[in-house]
Amino acid sequence: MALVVFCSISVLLLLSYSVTKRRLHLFERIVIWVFVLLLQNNFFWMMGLNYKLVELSHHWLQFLVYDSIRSIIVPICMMLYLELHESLDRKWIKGLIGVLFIMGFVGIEYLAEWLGVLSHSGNWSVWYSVANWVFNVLLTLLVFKRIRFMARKEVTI
Amino acid sequence: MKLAESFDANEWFLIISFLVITTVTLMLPRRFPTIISIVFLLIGSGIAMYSDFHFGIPPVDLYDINDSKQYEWFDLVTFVLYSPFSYLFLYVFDRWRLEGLKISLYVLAWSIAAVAFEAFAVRLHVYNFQKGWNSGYSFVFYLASQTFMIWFYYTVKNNYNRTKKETSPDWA
Repeated sequence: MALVVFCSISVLLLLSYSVTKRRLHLFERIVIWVFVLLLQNNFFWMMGLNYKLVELSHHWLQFLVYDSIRSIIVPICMMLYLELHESLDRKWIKGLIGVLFIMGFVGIEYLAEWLGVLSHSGNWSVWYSVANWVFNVLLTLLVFKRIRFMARKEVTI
Repeated sequence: MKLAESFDANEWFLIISFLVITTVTLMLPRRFPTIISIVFLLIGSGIAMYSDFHFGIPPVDLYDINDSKQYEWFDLVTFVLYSPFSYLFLYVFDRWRLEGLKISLYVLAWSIAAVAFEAFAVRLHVYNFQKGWNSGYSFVFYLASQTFMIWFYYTVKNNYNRTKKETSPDWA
């Protein structure tokens, strides 16, 4: 079931993302992809390997499902968020979109748990997930702003 | 998160390697536009982290990095070390303007050099291969990842030349 759900979402996201007009330059997308991967890997390595608060399924198929979340769903959603953030004018709408995306990321995490892709330990709280995704979104936004500032000097965005 | 389980040969190897390779990278004459340099630096660590997540942890779990099975700060240094290497790989490739079969020979030479560097790192316990990984697998991995890097180089170059500003530096 997890395979059907997350791989379908991944393929549909990839397809939709590649056939629609993009507001992010290729270089920005590369930087964001690597950065989001860095944040997620470090989160898992620290919370999973060191503190045993999150555990990934040891079944290889479920592991591949998690990989689709980590390397496709989350980075593309993050890029969609950044594009929306750039296209909107009003600050309160930007904030609202941020909150919605954070809720979406937390939702994906708990859907993955429900479908057996990962499991949280008893000491884990939903607020830790919220804090993690708030941190992820804000830091990625900061990096994006910086990269866009640099990229605009050399390429047309 | 620990800095390291015990501060010994592998940590010193990582520090010295990082300082040497970063100094070499910084001393090189500027060749790429700033945004391209950032992209070329990041892609090395990106590939390293992406593949380590597949091969270095359960269910595959074929090797360990540094002293313990747990994540430590020096594991992060190990991944960051791939950044200047990827930059140098593409810098020299761009400098020599290789074409045809020379590209394959270039990738082969870098793969052999990477396996040799890695073998030295294995001796100093930066990588621990007791779980089933070996240098043969690394060689295949380096061949594949460096081939990807060559494709990546051309993609980035085409994209830059297509979208660069009038005032931006040329990259022929």
